[in-house]
Amino acid sequence: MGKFIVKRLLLSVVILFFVMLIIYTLMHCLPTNYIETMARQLAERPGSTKSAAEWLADLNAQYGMDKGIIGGFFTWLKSAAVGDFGTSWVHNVECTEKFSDVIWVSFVLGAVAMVLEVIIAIPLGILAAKKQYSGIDYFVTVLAMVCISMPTFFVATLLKLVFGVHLGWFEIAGLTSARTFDTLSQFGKIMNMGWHLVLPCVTIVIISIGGLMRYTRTNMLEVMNADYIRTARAKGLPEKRVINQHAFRNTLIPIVTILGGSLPSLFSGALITEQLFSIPGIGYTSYQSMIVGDIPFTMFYLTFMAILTLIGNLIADLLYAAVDPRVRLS
Amino acid sequence: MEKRNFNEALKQRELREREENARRAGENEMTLDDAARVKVLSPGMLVFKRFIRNKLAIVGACILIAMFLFAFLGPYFYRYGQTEVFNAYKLLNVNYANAEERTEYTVYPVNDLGIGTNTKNMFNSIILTMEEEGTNWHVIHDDESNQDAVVLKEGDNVYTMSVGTPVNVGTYALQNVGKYNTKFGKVMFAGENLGAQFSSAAKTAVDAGAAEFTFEGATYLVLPGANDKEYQILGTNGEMKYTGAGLGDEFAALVGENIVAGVLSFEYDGGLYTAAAGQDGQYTIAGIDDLQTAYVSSTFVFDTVEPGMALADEFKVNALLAIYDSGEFAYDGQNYTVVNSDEEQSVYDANGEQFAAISTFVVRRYNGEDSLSLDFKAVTREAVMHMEENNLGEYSFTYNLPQLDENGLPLLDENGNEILVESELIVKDKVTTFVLVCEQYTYMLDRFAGPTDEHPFGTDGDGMDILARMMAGGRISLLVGFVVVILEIILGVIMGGLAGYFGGWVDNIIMRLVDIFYCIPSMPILIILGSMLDSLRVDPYVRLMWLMAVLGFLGWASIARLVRGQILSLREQDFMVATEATGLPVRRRIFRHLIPNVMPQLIVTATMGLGSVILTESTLSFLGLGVKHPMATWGTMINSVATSAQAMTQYTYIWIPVGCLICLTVVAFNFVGDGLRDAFDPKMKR
Repeated sequence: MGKFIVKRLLLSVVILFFVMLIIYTLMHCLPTNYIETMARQLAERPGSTKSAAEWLADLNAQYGMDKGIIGGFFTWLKSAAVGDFGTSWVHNVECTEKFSDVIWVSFVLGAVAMVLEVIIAIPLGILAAKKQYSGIDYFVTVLAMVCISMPTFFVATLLKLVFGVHLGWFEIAGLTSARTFDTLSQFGKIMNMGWHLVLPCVTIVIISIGGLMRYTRTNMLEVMNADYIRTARAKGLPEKRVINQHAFRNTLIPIVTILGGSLPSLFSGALITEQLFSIPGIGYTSYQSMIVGDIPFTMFYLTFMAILTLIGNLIADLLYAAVDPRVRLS
Repeated sequence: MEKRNFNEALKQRELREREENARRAGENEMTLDDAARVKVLSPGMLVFKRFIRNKLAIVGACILIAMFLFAFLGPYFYRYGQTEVFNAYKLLNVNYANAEERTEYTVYPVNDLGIGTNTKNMFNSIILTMEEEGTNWHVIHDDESNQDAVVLKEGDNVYTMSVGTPVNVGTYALQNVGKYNTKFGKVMFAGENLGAQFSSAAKTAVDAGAAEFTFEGATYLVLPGANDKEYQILGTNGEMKYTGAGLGDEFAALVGENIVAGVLSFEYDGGLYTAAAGQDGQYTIAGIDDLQTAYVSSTFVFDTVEPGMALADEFKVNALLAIYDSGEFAYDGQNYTVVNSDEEQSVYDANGEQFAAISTFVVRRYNGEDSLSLDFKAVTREAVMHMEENNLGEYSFTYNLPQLDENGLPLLDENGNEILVESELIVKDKVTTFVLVCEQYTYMLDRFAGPTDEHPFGTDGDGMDILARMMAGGRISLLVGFVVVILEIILGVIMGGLAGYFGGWVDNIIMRLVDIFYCIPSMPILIILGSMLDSLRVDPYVRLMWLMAVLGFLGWASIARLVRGQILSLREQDFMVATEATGLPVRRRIFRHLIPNVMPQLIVTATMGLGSVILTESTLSFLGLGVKHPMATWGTMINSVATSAQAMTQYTYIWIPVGCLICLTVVAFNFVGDGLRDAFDPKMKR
């Protein structure tokens, strides 16, 4: 086990190295006039602390943009390894500082959405599998498909129209009510933010629930066809016991694995959803950086995302081994 | 436990059919090894049969077929093109006209009588003074031509400036007392010496700048003398000396009165007279005779019956002079009559038809053009009068206004008449003027038109038909999907095939590469790319190529993994061992035996992949970072109307159908993909 973890970790580091190299190469290949134009535009914004020339000098110093791909990559790797990603051009603070400011919103949003997803999707998936070819099975299958096929922006816009504009129940943009937020009590502030997060949360749940539902159903079906279920039935166990103890536990193996694997993605934020609802989380912040060519923050975000994916894969592998005794690690 | 198992049902049906066939075939009992017992189907047929048993897959396939027909064949049957711009008659709130009571006088020249420019320019200010004082005439000496110009009020709003021939009447002499010189401080008496006390009285008056003073009950005038130190002192009693027959004492008294009062022009018995100051209190009195008009000034404007006709100054002058005169005039060989009554002031031509109206009320188009009909002007005038009477700030009336075409010109029907539409005009009091605002039917871009028979889904922000754009957008979305998926498959099959077939270090390297590509966050990279292409202002078509290339390049990893896994398992199977044993060449082994066995999975993945590529593309386009105008895709169409809360609420008829199209297409691809998977691999039944 220990050997496996070490091996996987080392492999992950190697992969991360190459992912960073590719990301760096992409950045390096951005046309110079694009970077210069963007730096100039951003420097002219109110509140920017440095001039465009200073930024470009910083960029060269930190990212080695003037050194060629390999030399520059190692220059960047050196500072990135110690957690120095430079100052964001848009936000005018250290990238890591901005990151720690905004990450909790994304995390809360992601966590709540994930809990809801699990609560809704797993029972529905199991129910569908239990009664294969029944009405509820068709309903779940179609629902899952439709959810998978809905574009985020369409769901978000529909929700905004119905619940934000027509019914007026929820806010359609932002994390806080601009006018009243400061006058609220501590508890009121939290409630206010929660209120604003309802629609984004629902959006995320809708678009990601389908996958989990299908996955649960497929796995449950597979388990239900397994020999040990037939044995359990043959023994004359009540159907309830067959489902709840013999089938469900085995279905959980792959589900726990992929859920564990997606834990790190709670931190990655919902790029599109946050942007659509103007929720100042990591996704929204990096979207703002990306569309105006804020290279330091973009690089930081891309690296962060790559690390999260790697951690997710690692966790999934380890959990698989931990949960399923049939899997031998070697 | 009752279970609705389709397989069971199908099996039973097949059994029944077979029995029936057997019965029909003959009385002979079938043996176990009878070939007729086994129904042989080709693998493709089997897959097809299994596929069409799946209801959802059939629904998906139908949707897809409909979508393809809609996107690719639809444009051939639909009457509009995707970039066709539509215009329509729409109510547009415009400042239609301007109305005001004219108070400024305009000067028209009549005859050139040598009146100097200064005097001419004073014409209007003289009129204002006269209006203030309520006088009917005014005489001004024109220094340039050294003649007297007479301004006469002909009637309300019409004034003339004329020059007459002076006729000498006589002289008038005031009593010459003497000259006061400031240098000496005393009066040099011309005649009788009135003493030192008179001198000091004169001094006080001169020092105070007074024009007259009284001494011992008599009034004396102080006039400026030959130089600035000298003042002429005159008595107020004078004597009139006529050159000719004379006009009598009454006239003499009037002259004296006026001269003492400092007024040098006066009226007597219908004639005008002037007094010219001479030396030592001598005034030459002359009558002005034979007046000739040099200029006419009036606030009247002419509104011709035929709108916008330009009238010559000469015509206007003749008409203006005729108003308060005989009422008849001739111009350009035509005779005209001017009617001046309380109801109207109009010019009629020789046939007795109204030619023009004269008034001080001006109604013009808002741009200053005089193109409005007399009737419209009259109605406006009535409205304004009503407003003034009742002290209203706003008032409205309806009038039939012409529709305008794309060039802003009036639209004509077949007979060449203007098409009129009843419109409501709102008159607003803007202190100095009245502005007429109306919603006029104007020919303009038909933006965001709602669904009508003509445009079943309305039009977008550029006045283009939504349905046509939907078809075009579907074409691009589907095209992007196919190109990207084909790219992915080519890359994925090559990489996965290499890895799976050769194994060893090739496999290792390629699989690590796949791991790396799995870790690259694709959405952020696509966003950066989009923003970069935006800033470099790349041509939309080149942009589309880039988008497809990058999407394909970022998506091959999963296909490579799938192909590799498939090939790895196939390689170990007996038929592959057999191909090796029979010595088939590598190429044949790969393309004849391996690839066809990977095909089912590839087709399934590709079908599902199509849906997700369409989703990614539309998301990017929605963010404005994907396909750009003028090309339509479903994402861009939504982006253009659903970005602000207001537009979102207002234009639901645009974005909801388009969004549903995206959903339907992706759902259909997923259903078909799912159905195909089940059909290819019956063991893994849904």
